[in-house]
Amino acid sequence: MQHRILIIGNGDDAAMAARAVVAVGMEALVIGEGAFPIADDRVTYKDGWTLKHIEGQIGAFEAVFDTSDGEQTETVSSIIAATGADMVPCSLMNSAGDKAVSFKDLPALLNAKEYTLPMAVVFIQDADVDDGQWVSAIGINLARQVRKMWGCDVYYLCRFIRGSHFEVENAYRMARAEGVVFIKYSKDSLAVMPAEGKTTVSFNDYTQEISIQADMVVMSDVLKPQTQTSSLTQKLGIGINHEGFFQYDNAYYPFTATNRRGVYVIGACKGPAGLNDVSGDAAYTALDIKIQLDELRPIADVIAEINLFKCSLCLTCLRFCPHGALHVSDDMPSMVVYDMACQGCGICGAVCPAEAINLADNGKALMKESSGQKRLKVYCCKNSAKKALDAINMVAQLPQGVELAEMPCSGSIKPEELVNDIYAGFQRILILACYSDACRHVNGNADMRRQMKALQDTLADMGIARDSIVVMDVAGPSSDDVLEKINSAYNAIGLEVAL
Amino acid sequence: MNSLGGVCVRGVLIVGGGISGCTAADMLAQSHIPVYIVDKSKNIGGKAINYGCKATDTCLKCNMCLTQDIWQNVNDNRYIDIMTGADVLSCQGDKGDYRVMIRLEDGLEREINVSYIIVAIGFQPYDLKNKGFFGYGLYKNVLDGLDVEQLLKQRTPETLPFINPSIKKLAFLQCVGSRDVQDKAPYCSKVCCAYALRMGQTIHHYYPNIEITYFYMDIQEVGGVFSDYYDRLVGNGFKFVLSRPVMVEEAEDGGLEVIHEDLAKASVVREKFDMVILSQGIRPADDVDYIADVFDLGYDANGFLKGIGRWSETGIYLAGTAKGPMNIADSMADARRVAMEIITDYRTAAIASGVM
Ligand SMILES: Cc1cc2nc3c(=O)[nH]c(=O)nc-3n(C[C@H](O)[C@H](O)[C@H](O)COP(=O)(O)OP(=O)(O)OC[C@H]3O[C@@H](n4cnc5c(N)ncnc54)[C@H](O)[C@@H]3O)c2cc1C
Ligand code: SF4
Ligand code: SF4
Ligand code: SF4
Ligand code: SF4
Repeated sequence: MQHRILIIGNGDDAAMAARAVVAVGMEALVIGEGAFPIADDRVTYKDGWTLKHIEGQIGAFEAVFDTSDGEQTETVSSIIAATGADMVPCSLMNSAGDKAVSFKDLPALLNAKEYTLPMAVVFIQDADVDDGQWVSAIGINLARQVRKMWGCDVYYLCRFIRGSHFEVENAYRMARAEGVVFIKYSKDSLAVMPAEGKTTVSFNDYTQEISIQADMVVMSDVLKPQTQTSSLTQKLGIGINHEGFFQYDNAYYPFTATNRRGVYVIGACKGPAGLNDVSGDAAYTALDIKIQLDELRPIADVIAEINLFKCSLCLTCLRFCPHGALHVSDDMPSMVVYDMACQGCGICGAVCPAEAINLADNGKALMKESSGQKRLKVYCCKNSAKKALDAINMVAQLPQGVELAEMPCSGSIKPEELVNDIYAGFQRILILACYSDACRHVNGNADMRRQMKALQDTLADMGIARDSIVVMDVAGPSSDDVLEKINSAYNAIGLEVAL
Repeated sequence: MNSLGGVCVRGVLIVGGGISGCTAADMLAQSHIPVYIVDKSKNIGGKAINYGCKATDTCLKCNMCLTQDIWQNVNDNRYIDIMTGADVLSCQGDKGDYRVMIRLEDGLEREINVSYIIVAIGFQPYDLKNKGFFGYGLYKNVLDGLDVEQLLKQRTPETLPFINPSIKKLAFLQCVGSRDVQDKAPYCSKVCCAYALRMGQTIHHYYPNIEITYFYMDIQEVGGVFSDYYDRLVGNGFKFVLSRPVMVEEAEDGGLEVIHEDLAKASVVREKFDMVILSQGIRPADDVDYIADVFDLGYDANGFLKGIGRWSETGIYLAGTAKGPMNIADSMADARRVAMEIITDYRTAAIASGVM
């Protein structure tokens, strides 16, 4: 079957995505505003189309667009957001007067035929921000060009050379050999002021105050999220980070895949970090899509099941599902699950007020039954605590009276279950969840914490100690830490640990 | 060997079972392609399996969470045949039909027949014996990055095993064995700024009164917007000294002295610390020459492995830090890309031979 991929954006990043998609034998539908550089039978470009919303799942997303001919719907197998970012001048540009040029505008000047050659050019790499190795990559190459074409004095001011790519390190070495003067300045010491037809750049280079009279000051631009980014994240049901770029700030999302299966983000729309290897990311993404589509399989062993007769369509689960895996059925008054999108986290089951979702309960496998008196019940997140315990078979080392259960995500715990545990005689319940920002299901662990706070309040009203329920952060690689945390929760009940 | 309807589409040999090799193996096995992993160490996992979590109140994104599934999936997988303590001896044949001789742990030899080969022999941490003047191996409170990684693995809710009450001032020395033309490493190792800054934060989280100083030339990617990150560290009280120390010596009272140039004073100064952590860099694996010879590979400018000819034509791929410095996430992405190329090619071959 021919797969068609929707690419959102018409800049360089989108062009790379389109080429990569075509290179692995798929087709691309590209939307944007203005011209698009690729003319290819397998690439359809729709100028002026904007995304309204999407439905469906990997393999068959229904994308609805606003177009000049009204609303259009297209079916696509996967979606790549490659909307780029805005390059804005850095904040010092204003105070620097008319001798200031941004990195972005310098190439036009270098290509201009007539120009009074400057005597001294000062580059400032990181006046505002210093994020991403692209800053040094662009800046150093521009400085070398200026030195070569204009033959003037070139000073390159920076706080750090971002040279982790070998080519950048290499360019840095060559630039020094060619006579570009590199100076590191200390933060907050920098000032740029127009003075008598020149611009004075003053700073502290860690040894002394220095000022340079420059004929031209070249400053790096700053990468800012595009205005449409936040509305697009909502339409696509994917994450956004603190800085307003695409992708959650989460240990599980370092690549181009997002929390919604089949939706990807590449390039500058991910922020400075996204710029490092756009063509590599595009190739990777296209292959990833193709491999998945060629043999589409569910990703979770157990997925959510909804009882059509119990569901009251309150839409709670829809709001909580981190993976865009739920939708209202077309032909029945019920929520249904997208089988290829569901990751089996069980969060929906924990929040459904009608108890219409089945998974959270089956999802909780017993790892160790408490022998003798019930003292401590430990819920272990499959992604962290369970892995840590498995790594060195620590279940065997736990004291008597401890019962262990495994859950797909701490967000799958229902408060009622814990109340049942307490009625069953457990003196304490310990939930071992992942650190914040390291939840595979994005907000599962934060949602659980909120629920537990509420539960503790309710318990307190009933005269049951708040610390009957304890939540701790753990990580898969830290086996000793996990064991100690279980022991400390156990000890706090007031009994010796018999190891 | 996977015999599909009479036509043989053989499996994949992966040389090196670090995170790169294991990630590729996991992905191939998920597509039901038989995989052989040959690792010369006693266990698979490479360096990263011994790293600890660096979370403070929140995750610091050291990437170790990403590796946990991989180790589990690779062990006890019916598509993956793991040979540890083993070496490759020779490789004959062409794409689609390689015969590789392997010496197993027990000394016996085994020949395997594969369609593709992934070389993922990883890296070697910089050998600190070459910089004896930093006192590694001589003074007990001079540690290297790998020591700290391994000790972090033993963290408990209250302690980090390597920190004791006598430690009040701690220094990280960046770029040890990297960005050093004289030491034949004119490149940046990419990972040591990130791991050192994370380690500093983990230590600060447990012991906020320890004073932490970084001696650096430049600071590289850590994730997120770097200036925010840097400002937060400075807010924690971390000191950043732009200087490349020349020596570490034991002080009379048993502490350590870092000898470095103080730029503002334009003179060499001795500053006292209780512990020094050397942020060692990434070097080509110790067996590169041997492996390059067996599989007919070349080198890049820095001595890391490089292929001769197109991967798709030779069927011999490289993945992860065997190719140059990379962190875990990048190594995994690289390995997945290689695995995906093989899966695509494998499927095409299977379809062409009418078995799929
Ligand atoms: C001190 C330190 C700290 C780090 N911390 C982090 C961190 O916090 N986060 C992060 O993302 N990255 C970190 N890194 C980087 C990380 O270690 C690497 O990205 C990762 O280990 C690369 O994995 P690999 O599989 O490519 O190589 P390796 O881990 O080196 O694995 C290579 C494997 O190949 C085997 N092998 C070698 N030669 C042969 C041969 N001839 N035949 C058979 N097998 C062979 C080895 O036994 C080994 O198992 C750190 C690096 C260092 C030095
Ligand atoms: S189990 Fe998780 S991914 Fe699946 S539908 Fe429920 S909330 Fe969504
Ligand atoms: S939360 Fe429960 S009742 Fe509400 S829509 Fe979802 S399945 Fe139906
Ligand atoms: S710091 Fe590393 S191991 Fe710890 S939670 Fe974050 S990614 Fe996982
Ligand atoms: S990552 Fe940092 S410490 Fe490592 S070589 Fe590069 S600049 Fe030096």
